[in-house]
Amino acid sequence: MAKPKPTRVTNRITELRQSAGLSQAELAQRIGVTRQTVNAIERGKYSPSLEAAFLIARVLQHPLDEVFDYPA
Amino acid sequence: MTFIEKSTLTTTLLLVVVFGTYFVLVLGPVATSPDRQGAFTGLVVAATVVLTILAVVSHIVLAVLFRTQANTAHDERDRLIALRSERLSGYILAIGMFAGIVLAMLETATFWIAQALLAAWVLAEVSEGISKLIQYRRGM
Repeated sequence: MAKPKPTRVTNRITELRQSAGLSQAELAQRIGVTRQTVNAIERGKYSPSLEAAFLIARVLQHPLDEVFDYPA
Repeated sequence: MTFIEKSTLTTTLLLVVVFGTYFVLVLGPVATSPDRQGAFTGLVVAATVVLTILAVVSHIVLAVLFRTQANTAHDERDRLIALRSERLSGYILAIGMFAGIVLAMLETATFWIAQALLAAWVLAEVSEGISKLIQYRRGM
């Protein structure tokens, strides 16, 4: 049985970041967090603040609800 | 593992080793010694000095070994993990303080009140470190 993730928020950051040709370190630098935090967000181990979420969406040039999802 | 995790792990291990040794000595031979007040005062000072020196030296070594990570600024995740861990640590410290007050009300010897307060502080610090490490590893 798969271990439940600490957050129910899911995201497409890995896919969108790779499409944009950005590394985790580059994305981290542009939104003002550490590479480890970007990694934790991508793996569903940390839900970013609203401000960081907006910054991620802006850097990846996608609307917020295309980057993040929360199950109904 | 980030630099903060390495630093937290090192500090927590040092606390366990230094104050673990302190409590083994204090609750063993020192507690039954006729001059336990003087002996424990010397041990507290010694443990604090040793802990400080080991913490400084170990952090210098960590900074040299992981030079690129050492200057990384704390971000929102680091701050949230620290806040959550400090809250847990605060509860433990508060319980310890109340235990100290209860011991004082019961007119327990100063020696035992001091040990209870010190144990509460050590337990609070160790819990804070463990809480941080768990949150960094498992997520939050």
